[in-house]
Amino acid sequence: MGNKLKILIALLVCAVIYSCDVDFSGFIRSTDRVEDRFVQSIEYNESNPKEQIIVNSSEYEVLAASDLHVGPTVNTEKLLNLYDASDAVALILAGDIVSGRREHYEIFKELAEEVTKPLLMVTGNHDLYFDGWKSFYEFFGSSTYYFNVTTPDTSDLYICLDIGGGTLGKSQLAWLEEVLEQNRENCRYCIVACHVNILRTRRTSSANPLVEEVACLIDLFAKYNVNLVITGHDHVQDVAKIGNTTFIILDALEDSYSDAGYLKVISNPDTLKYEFIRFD
Amino acid sequence: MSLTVHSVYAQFKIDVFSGIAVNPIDRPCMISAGFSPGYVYKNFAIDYALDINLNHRDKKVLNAFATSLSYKLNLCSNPLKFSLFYCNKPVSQMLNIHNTGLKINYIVKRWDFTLGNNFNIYKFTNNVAETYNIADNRYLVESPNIMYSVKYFIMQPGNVWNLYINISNFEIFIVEQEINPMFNVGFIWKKNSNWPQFFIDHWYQTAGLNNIRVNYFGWFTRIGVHWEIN
Repeated sequence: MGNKLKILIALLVCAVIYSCDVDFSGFIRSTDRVEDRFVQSIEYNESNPKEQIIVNSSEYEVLAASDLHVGPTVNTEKLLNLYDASDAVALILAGDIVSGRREHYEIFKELAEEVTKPLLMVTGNHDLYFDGWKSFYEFFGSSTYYFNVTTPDTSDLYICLDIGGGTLGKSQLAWLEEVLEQNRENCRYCIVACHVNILRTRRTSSANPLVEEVACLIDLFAKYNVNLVITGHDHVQDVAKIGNTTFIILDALEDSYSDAGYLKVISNPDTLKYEFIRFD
Repeated sequence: MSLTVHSVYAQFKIDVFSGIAVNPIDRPCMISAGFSPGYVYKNFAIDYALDINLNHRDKKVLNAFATSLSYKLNLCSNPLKFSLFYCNKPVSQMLNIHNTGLKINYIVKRWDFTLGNNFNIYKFTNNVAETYNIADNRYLVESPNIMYSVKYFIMQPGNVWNLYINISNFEIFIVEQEINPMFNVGFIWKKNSNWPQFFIDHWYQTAGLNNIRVNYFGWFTRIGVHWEIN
């Protein structure tokens, strides 16, 4: 093959790599590690504690969505408008909100500012591409936190985790154990939200955590009776149950996905229910 | 292509080893010791391996138990081995990982290839139903998972010492998902046929590689002795 042709192919490959929303450097190194992100998140939480959500009835709804992949915003806008007009008390966005590029963060921030009710976000792997954590932290703050939804009779515990890189890391895992130990007993239901799907019940190219970590989390969730684990990442809806914990993978919300949708979680004194809702 | 079945000998073998693992789960680290006896008869081999937890005994005493049954033959004058295996790895006093599968190993010159398939099963122990009120859904079977290993030896087989590098998603006691490879280097030394073989095996684990957001997870190292008893 001539040298000119080799150079042309190399330039074409570089152009394709540069233009797509995948940060291939992430195969070799991450610009930010989960330990560092966790430290920053906890520091942020200390100065900006999450407001507890207080509801007047014993039954309430929370919505959850994942893999918005903003650039395109049709489904995102639809969901945010729907949420704002609904009775739901919170919307959890379980990662891959953007591609990591600054301009996509700015687009989403503008949409988020129009929403009048709580938006709870955690990072996904795509959110961390192209040094994206800096933008996430600047615009939205912490990616590791917990909050309560308090009804007249009781309180439910919601824990949001940063697993965008594929592992919780040592400090965040210790923090999770501490939060569950200190808070679970006083709460009716416990819901955990994070991006990367914990279980791998179908063959997929998306990476879930290492087996040691998966087993540790299953054990921890069983010990503290975590009712629901909401995740995304795999883009295809799935439900698996082991012990008393239901692990959910959400449909992607991104515009290009034909089965785009979100999850409605209904909490009432008798049971914790969920319903998948797909956009037409 | 020639396929031959050979060898009419019987042999005991034993590995004795100790290891240290550092990762977010086994804080600050896990120290273990174990052994692996085996018996080879003609083309068949049966192996057991046991790893005992030395410093987290309140959490679990047994780190892992594994067994395998193999059949070896020659393919184009190179060894081809089929192995059926089972591994039980307690996570805590209430949860175990059961892992079973089949793998095929082929060695040609300095290359050692393994390909296989396994199932990970997470299962609560019997007493958990009472303690944590878990009556249903006491186990979960994950999807079939490809196992692979590509190992390269620096020196020719039979040399007094050798160094190898390996990319694999499994080792004796753990099989990671196919999208979570581990990186392995090792050193082996055997003075002559009357001596046992000393080995040191180091593994580096990374999370999120296939999420294109690689993040350090941990490492583990095992040192030991391999002895073939005639």
